[in-house]
Amino acid sequence: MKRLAVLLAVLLLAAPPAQAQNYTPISGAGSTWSYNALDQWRKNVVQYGMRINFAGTGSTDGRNQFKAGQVDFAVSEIPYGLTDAGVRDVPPKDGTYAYMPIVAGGTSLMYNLKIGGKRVTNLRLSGEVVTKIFTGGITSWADPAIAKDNPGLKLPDRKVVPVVRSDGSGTSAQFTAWMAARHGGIWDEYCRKAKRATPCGFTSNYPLIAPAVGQSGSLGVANYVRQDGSEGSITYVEYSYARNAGFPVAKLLNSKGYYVEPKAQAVAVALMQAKINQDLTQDLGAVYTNGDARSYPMSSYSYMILPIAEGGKFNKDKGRTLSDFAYYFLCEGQQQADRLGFSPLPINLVRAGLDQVARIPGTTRQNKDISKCNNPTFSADGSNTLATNAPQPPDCDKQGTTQCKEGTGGATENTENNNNAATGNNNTNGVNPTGNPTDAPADPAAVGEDVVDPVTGETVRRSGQSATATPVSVSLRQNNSSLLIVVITVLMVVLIFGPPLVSRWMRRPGGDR
Amino acid sequence: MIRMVLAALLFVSAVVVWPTDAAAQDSSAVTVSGKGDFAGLEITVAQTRDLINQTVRVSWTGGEETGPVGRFATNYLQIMQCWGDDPAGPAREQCQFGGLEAQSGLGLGNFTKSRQIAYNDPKDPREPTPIPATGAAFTEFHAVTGKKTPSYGEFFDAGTTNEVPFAKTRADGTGEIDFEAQTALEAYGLGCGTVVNNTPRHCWLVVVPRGDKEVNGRRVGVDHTGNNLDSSPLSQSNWENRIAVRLDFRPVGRACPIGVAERPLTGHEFVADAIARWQPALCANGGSVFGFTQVPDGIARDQLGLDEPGMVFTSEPLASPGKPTVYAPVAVSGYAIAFVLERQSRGPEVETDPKVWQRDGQLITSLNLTPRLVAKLLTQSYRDAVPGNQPYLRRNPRRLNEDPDFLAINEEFKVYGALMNALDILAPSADLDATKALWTWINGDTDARAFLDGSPDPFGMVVNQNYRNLALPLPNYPKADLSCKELAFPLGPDCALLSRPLSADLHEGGRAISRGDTLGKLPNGLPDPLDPSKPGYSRSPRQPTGERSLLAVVDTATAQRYGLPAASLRNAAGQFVAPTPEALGAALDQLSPTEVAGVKIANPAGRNVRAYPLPNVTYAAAVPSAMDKAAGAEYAKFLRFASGPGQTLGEADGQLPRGYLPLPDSLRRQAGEAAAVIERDAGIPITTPNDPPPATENVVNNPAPTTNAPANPPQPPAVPPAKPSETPTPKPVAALRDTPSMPVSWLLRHLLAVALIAGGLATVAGPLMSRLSSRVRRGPEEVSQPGP
Repeated sequence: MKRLAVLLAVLLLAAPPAQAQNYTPISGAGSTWSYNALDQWRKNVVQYGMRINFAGTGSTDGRNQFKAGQVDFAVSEIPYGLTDAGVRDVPPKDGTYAYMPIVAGGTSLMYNLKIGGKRVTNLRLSGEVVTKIFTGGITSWADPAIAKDNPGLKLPDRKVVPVVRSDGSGTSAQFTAWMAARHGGIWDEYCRKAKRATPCGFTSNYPLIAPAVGQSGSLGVANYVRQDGSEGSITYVEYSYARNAGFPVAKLLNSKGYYVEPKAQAVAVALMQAKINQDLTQDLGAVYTNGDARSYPMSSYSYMILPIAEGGKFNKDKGRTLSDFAYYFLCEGQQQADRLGFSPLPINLVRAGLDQVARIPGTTRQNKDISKCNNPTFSADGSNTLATNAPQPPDCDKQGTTQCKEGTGGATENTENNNNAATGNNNTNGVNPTGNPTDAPADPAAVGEDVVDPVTGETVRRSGQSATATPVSVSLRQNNSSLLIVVITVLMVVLIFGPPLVSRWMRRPGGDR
Repeated sequence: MIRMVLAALLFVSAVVVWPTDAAAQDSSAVTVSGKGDFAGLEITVAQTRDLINQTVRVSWTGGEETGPVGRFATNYLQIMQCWGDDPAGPAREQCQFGGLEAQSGLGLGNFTKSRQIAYNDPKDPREPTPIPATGAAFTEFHAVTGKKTPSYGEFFDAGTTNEVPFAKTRADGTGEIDFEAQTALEAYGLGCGTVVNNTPRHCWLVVVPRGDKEVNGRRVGVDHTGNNLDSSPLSQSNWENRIAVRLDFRPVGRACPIGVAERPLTGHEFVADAIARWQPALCANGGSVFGFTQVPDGIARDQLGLDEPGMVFTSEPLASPGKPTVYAPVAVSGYAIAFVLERQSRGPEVETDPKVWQRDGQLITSLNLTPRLVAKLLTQSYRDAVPGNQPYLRRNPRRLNEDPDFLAINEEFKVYGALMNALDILAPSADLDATKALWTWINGDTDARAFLDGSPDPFGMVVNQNYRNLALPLPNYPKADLSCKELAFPLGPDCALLSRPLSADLHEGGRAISRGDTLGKLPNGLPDPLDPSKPGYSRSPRQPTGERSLLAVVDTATAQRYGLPAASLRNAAGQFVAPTPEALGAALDQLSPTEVAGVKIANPAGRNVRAYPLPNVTYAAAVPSAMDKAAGAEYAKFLRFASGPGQTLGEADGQLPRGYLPLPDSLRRQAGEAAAVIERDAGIPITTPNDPPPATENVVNNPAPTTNAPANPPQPPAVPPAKPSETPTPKPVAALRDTPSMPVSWLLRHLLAVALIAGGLATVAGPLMSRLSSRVRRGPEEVSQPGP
């Protein structure tokens, strides 16, 4: 036994870099928006000897727990000190905490919609329509305003069910901040109905007015929308939840006139316009209106609120763990962001984040050799590789008469054009020789309740439906095609064998005679 | 060098590693007795040596029953971990206790969860610490680091502590719990397992037994002011009854160097626990560091089409890959329905035989489930699974334990299920290939399918109408009934998805039921403090230990991790089989082939009587042409480790966690061959679609099973087959057909048919017309004699 102990000791001593680091365990709580990323990092650093506990209880709860000293760090989409529904969220004592961005992502619009029993995967929405959907202004999917966004779809007259967060949520704060900034009038109107003071601004607690349905947590809203019984529902949730559920997300119209999906690259491009305040909190005004055709308007960061002073339960030993954990996820952990349904942080924010890490008591990260940081967005010239390499959107994603068929989010199936008036387009390479850039507005007057028929401005429709209507035969295969094929076969047989047989039959009596 | 490390590892495992878990626990099990009032108490700690961060079974006999039923007022044990170099045992200042002080809904008593030791009532005459004028005095915590904190402070808290403030003794005087032993990594204030003078630091497990007498000698229910104990276990009089057992730890695990670029591994949850064990062994001695990202099978497969897929893990293969893809089996486990069901008879008032109710609170360890019973549980078909007494469920039993269909094959529950409340199965939100296999198992059973299609079972129970004619298989668990019980504000509504939700993944589900947690939320009767216009919701109270009745879908590794028994499922041969190593092994012999040679999936229709119907084989998949030479070498090394030393069952770094079945030799060979192909072909680009890449030629050491079809030409890899692209879900294909109200389209759709009918009519009509015309020409008299 003694020999064994010696052997073990030798084995361990022979490998000094693999010796345990004796990290102190730390605990945190907060955002479900970024939970899918944080939870994965937490699991991966176990191999570095770290034990991180994290409870995804929502941003509001995370901020409250941090303020009360119950956790070592919090994760939140919004900072302290903001006034929400007339109540100021009082921050902890100055000089005891700092903000650090941890991961970027798109707040996506996950929906459950079918046409003739087939899931729609290529829905597009403009900002105003989204705002009206979530404030009760649009109640049917056949609404002309939705049809205008979707020239390739003829949507059913089904009730729109907006699904919102019922708990205190940073996702709600992000979403309502965007509505307040972009469509303040419509949003304020809704707030007034909910008896909130206006101008309403952002809120973590979404006002719940029927037919809106409230659900708790990001997983709660996603699981509600994905049920078959929830057809017609739509919610706002971080992209990874929709992707994991195998559900599509709406492409959102940006200010350049393109409908864009919140993929990692679109988020990275959009956030190049984010204004980072002195304390690293974000001003997203310019992100919402980013003029780059590739940008997703509802892009944002999630934040860690970390202690920069000892006190309460927090000490230098914990600071050592927290600083190494933070270094891990700002650099290496960002490699996972895209795979998880997020977007990696760009270099300027990683650099600013590492400055915050250096302020943690007991930090191990005093020198900031950023070249060792294995972050996928970094390039030699300091630009964001991800944004630089982001492809231009295809022409079929442009506002107008065409609509791409490709599925979005976690839905891989295409949606075929079911609106005879529009031309579908499968081109994803950004080169579309046939796309018609004419940005012709739909005529609301021409759009009826049951026969939604947007006018396209293209001559193709006036010259008869035959050319664009041919794909109908393709869609037939899905449904009652077998019956038709039988009928056709029988008719073919009759057509071929009919004439000789009939003539023979007609001849026979003559022969008898 | 690598060989030497491997040899060393093998040597270490040969000497130190225990053939089986039970044997290891036997070898260092310790039993100790109590003293004084607790002299009859005998406590057994199943393993006291070579500990790592793991659970240790602590069981006891000769105690008094915890009371009253379902509550912790008197006669329970308080269990904690302490450090202390004194051979006599630890001081109370060295114990990790008090972290759960602020947790509500956990036991009774003012100070029973606390480090507070000085109070006016009950006043402890033996307590040396004076009661300060300011009020409370707490036991300091003296950390192993030398630091002393006034209370538990910075060293542990509710999120990290392993203390068990209330452990229940059953009516027969026995009880047991699984106690989490923590190393220095989990509890740095204790430092267990840290190497000091070349030996890992030992620690202590301390049990403070509690009776019905308070520190001041008064009895609960007699002359004590409260109806339950109030004092802290650290109060001097209580502390003097402590029973300490020495725990020896292995040296704290090696850790990987931080800041090194990780090789990405992406895949489903089944392999997560194994990879977490392999990671620290793989990085040892300058080895590669791997980072794991858990995603649903479908997303992992999609990743194979990306520029740099790395290595992914799924159950089913990618049916039509764009590039040659290599598959290697790396882990075998089972898809299980775990349960925590504790005996709950009608109690002494009804059960005449004391032997019956004295066993109340014991865990039931075996459960038989048919496909129809699982279908009932997964479709919210028991009446109480949906709030609000829905009329369409009114003829159904309220819960599983009242269902005659269930009781017929689970005799024990006729007595012990009386007060249980098993309503459904906590299932994961994440899509899994294995879930398709589970639904296939249900779908293949005539009775279950008939039930889902609306036929009542022999006892008249019908499927929840929201699931009728459910199309199967599915990769997930629908919650099709979203009904709410409408209650006046702020009392409700109480909704199905909120009160009985889905878990995030298998681990969350397993952990939740082991803690008696449904993960649900219920209206708390008050307005939401953050927004008073909404009703407030609180976490559903946890079911108390001894009264738990919950089920969850998990993998067998998760079941083992949380100490959960798994149900015996009825296989296609009609036998109830639990996911034991033998039954998983038998299931491996009857797997179904897939489009990809060498990749096989669960076959719930297999008729081997001994086989568990839902095994899971995790395959690692890689695209050698989409990685560079260095990556290929490292992934090959990963596969060789995973299918070699990584298949030894054990608790140490690098070893296979319990719940996995070590790969049989044939699968290990297959993995080894795949590793060779990846190493050889990595970095060699595919030149043209028509020329089979040189890398994928059939080389002598590259037999068919290691690579999939496109990797072994004839098929040119870059030409996608005409099959619909692989997808884990049977979700409707999203090609759209027209909404029914489209006259234009209808006409077009039937234009061809109309034309053909017209043509057919013309065929018949043509000759008739000619006859008619000739008749007209010839005159009416010839009509009766047609034909020329």
